[in-house]
Amino acid sequence: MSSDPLAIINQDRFDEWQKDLIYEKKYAWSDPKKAERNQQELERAVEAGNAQVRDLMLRRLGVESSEDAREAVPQLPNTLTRGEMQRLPLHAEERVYGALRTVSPLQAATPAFWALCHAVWIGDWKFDGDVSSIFMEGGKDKTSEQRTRNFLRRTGGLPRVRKSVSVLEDCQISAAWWRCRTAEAASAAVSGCGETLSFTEAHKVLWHNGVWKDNLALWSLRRVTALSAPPALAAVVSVLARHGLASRQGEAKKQVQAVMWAVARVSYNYCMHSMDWSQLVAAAEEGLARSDDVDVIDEADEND
Amino acid sequence: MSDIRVPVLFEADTGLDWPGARYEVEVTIKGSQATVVHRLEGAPALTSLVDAGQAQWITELRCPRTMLSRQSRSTDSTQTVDWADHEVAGESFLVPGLVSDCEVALDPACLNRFAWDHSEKVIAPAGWWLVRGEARRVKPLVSSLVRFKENVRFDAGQMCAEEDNDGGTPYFRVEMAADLFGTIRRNRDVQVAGLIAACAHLPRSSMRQEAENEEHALAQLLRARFEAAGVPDWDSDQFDPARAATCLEPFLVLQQEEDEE
Repeated sequence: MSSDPLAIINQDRFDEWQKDLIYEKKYAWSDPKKAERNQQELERAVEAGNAQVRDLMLRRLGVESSEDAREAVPQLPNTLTRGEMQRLPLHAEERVYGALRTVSPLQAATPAFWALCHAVWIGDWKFDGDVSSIFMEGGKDKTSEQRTRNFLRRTGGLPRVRKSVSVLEDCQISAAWWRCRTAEAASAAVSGCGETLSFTEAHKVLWHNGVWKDNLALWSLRRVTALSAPPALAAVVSVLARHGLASRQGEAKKQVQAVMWAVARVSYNYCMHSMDWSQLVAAAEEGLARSDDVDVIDEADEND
Repeated sequence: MSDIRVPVLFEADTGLDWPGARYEVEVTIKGSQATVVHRLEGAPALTSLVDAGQAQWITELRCPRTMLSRQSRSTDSTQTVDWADHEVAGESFLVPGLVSDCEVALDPACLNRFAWDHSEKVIAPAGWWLVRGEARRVKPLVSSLVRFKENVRFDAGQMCAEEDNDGGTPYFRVEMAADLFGTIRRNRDVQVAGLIAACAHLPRSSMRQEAENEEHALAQLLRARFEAAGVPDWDSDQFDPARAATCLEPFLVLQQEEDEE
C-alpha cells in the first residue's frame, strides 16, 4: 500500500454510480430505467469475469489505472472461500485484520475505499468462487435490483439505503476490520484499568451472532454515541465475556441491549473517560441482570 | 448507582440547581484544531474545585462514523483539541464541560434552597459532569446542509437543488453549470443563492413533519436556529426560504457596491 487510496478515487463519481444503480422510490429523481440499464451493465460484467468486474468498479471509482489501484490497496493474506465469505470465521477475521492494519478509521468508514479494495481483490482472484455467487446471491436475490444491492452491500456497503452502519455490518471484510479494531480498543481499555480482557476474548464476544449487527455497531453509531468511548465499549464487552452470551441470537441480543442501556444511562451523568471503572462495570452488570425486562429494539427492517 | 442525585449546571441553565450561575462555551475551529473557552460565572464552589485539583475542564471529541471518542482535560479554562484528518469521517462533535476528578463534597449552601436540602452535604462521585455544555458540530451547519456540485449538462448560469442523503444524514445537492461552479469559492452570492434553493425544498423534504428525518439532529438544529432568529420553520405556512436561508448565511453587500448605486 504505497499511495493514499482515498486520493486516487473520485468519491462523487462513486456516489453517483451507487445512486444510479438502485431505484429509490422515495426520491422523485430516482430513475428506474436508468437503474435497470446500470444493473444490466453490472450483470454483464459479472458474467464476463473477474477482470471485467474490476475494470467496471475502477471506472466507477474514477481510477484510471489498475496498477495504481493495486499499489494503493492492502493485500489480503490468502484467498477466501465462498463459505468464508458468507460469514468470516473468527480466525479468518483476525488474519484479515492483521493484513489490513494500515487502514485508517477514515478509510474504513468509507464504502468507496472498500469498493476499491474489492475491485482489486476480485481482479486478483482473492475470492475462491465466482463473483455472482459470493457477492450477489443469497438472501434476497430474485431480481436484478436485489442482486445489485447485495453486490454493493458486500463490496463495501450501501449507505444510500443502510446509512453509515452499512460499512460496519454489511461487507464481510469491512465488518471484520471494525469488529477487530473494537476488540483491540476494548482489550486495551480494560488493561488500562488494571484488569485483563484479551483481544481474542473481546473479539469472540463481538463476533457472536446478535452482538454486532443491528446492535452494538448500530447503537454506537446512531443511538448512544457515548458507547464509542473505549471504557464504555470495554465495560460492555468485558461484562458479556465474563457472564457468557446466550446461544440463541434473540436472547443474546436482549443481553447486549440490556448492557448497552445500562451504560447509556450512566453516560448521561458521567463522563465515560473519567468515571471509576468498577462503578461502570457494576452498572453494566446490573443491566445484564435485568435483561429479562428489556424489550428488544429490532431495526432489522432497515435491511432493504 | 441510579439513586445518586447531584446538581448539574447546564449551558443556558435556568438556575434550577445553581442559582445565579452561568456557563458559556466559545468554540473556534480552524482546520483540525478547536480552541474551547469555558466561561463559568456565579459558581465559586465549582471554580474552587478546579483550583483544588478536584475537577477539570473536559472536551470530548466524538465522531460516530469512525467510532472515535476521546477527551481533552485541562485545569485551564482555555483548551485546545486536535484531531487528525484520518481519524474522522462525516460529522464530528465536541462536548464541553467540567468533570469531577475524584469524589467531591459540594457545599449545599450554594445550591437552590428549593431543590436541595441545605443541611445535607452533596457528594459528587469521580467522573460526574458537574457542568455540561451543548454538543458542538465541528462542521458548520450550512456545509452539512448543502453540497455544491458541477453539472456539465447545464447551460451557463443554471442551477438546481435536490434532496439527497449521506449515510442517513439528509442534505441538499445543489448542482450548477460549470461557469457558476467555477466561481463558487470566491462568490458568496452564488453560495447563498444555492442555499435559498435548498431551503425551498425543506417543506417537502424528509425533514418535514412526520417524515423519516423529522427528528434528525440536523433538522433539530435547523429548527433551533430558525426559532432563535424568530423565523418560522418549514412546517409553518409562513415559511419563507429566502428569509430562512439568509438568516443562516446573509448576503454581504460591500460598501463599494452601495456607493456605486
